[in-house]
Amino acid sequence: MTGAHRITIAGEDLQLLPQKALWWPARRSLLISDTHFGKTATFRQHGIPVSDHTLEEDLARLSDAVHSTTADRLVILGDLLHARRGRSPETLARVTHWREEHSSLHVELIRGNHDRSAGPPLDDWRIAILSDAHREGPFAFCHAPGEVEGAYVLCGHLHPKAIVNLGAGTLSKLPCLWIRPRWAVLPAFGSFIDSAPVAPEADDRVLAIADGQAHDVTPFLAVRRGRRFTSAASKAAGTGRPGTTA
Amino acid sequence: MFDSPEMQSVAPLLNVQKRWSRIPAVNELLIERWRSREGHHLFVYPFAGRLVHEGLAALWAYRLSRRIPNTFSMSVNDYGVELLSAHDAALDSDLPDLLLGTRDLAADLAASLNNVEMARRQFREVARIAGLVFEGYGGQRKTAKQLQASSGLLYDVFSNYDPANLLLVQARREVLERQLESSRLKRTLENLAAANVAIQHLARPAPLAFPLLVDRLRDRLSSETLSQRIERMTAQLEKEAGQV
Repeated sequence: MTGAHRITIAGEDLQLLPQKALWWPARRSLLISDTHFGKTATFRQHGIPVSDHTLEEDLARLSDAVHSTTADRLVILGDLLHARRGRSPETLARVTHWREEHSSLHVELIRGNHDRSAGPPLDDWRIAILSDAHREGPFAFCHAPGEVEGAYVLCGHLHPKAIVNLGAGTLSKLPCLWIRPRWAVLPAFGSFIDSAPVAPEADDRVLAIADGQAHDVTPFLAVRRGRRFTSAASKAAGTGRPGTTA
Repeated sequence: MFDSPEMQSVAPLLNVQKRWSRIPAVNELLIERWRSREGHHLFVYPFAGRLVHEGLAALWAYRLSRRIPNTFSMSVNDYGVELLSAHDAALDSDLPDLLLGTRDLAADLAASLNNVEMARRQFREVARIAGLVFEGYGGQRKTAKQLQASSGLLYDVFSNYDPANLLLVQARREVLERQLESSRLKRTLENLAAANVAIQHLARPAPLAFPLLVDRLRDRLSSETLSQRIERMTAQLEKEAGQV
């Protein structure tokens, strides 16, 4: 796939796509998390004028990921819908329309915390609800990170972003896949979403997405020290001078 | 000149500045260049005050970034400006015209504003007053979970999809008016253009440069794509790994 980064997790070959999705070729499955459809509508309901452009773009990007992989199945690891007040007719119609364009795709959902209050997906969307910690191969599909006995967890919920030290005193915040010993956290798929910086530990790997490409940025991560960031490399060398907050 | 206690206490520093670099004369514009592990440093000392320097830093980074794909971060104080770049920004001989030319100034200023964080920061104020974001009273839950969006996120969404949004326009205008003081900036550039430019290449940061180096508030601007930057750094690491 163009711009994808291959990685092996729990013995399975996976690819992080620049569309912010994880592709599992052996099962012809795309995994995404935290779409938060209806978030812009929720804001409008509360009097904050934000348009649905991000929703349109998100759905277009999802189509792009489906087409470029020719996936048979899409698994959503939670927070499909943002809130009950975001179930506007326009939001629901857009998603229905998208579903009709990909009618042969199997779509499955692990419910997230937002889904519980937002209500179920529409019947027309034909989304199968999986039970939490659904097992498949070496993996368990969850919404939030946590250990599952005997499985490697693929999850979301954190909306992870990597703070990357790009030299010349610059720091960049990039959506990322955060790979830890017992679980990996997918980036938030939706674009009208704030992300939280990852706090990587020694054996973690971080793949970040920038300009339509996925990169392994593990060597370039800036580590948060109090309110400031230092580059992990200079911290290890003990000679680094503090960087700046982005 | 060194008879007051203040001047006596600063004399050693000025001495170091003189030995390691130069003390600019009244009609001189001092520019210092230094190469470090972090990149290529360019220090310029207009002594025009912090606000004007913010505008100058953004303008200069923008003009320099048009020459080759490059990445800049900026630092300012009341004495001068530092531009830190990944690649060498320009030849000594090109600098005076690049930095001090007033041709296309208005257009360059407007363009430089689109690339730096000033409008984004100003938007935070505008968004707060417009009621788009709520920072919370002490001790209370900040806001309904459903409505959490940082001003930065709103700024990005408006910039991408609603560029004529009045709040955005207001933020940009406020930056231009308040922080850049554009007529003062133009006058400063005109004064600088009349000065003798002295360019010093430093072996180490001199006293005038040092506060800029350690300044916390840095802005950034890049004409390289993020992917290009990451690829460059990866290549560098691989090269170093191959040499070890």
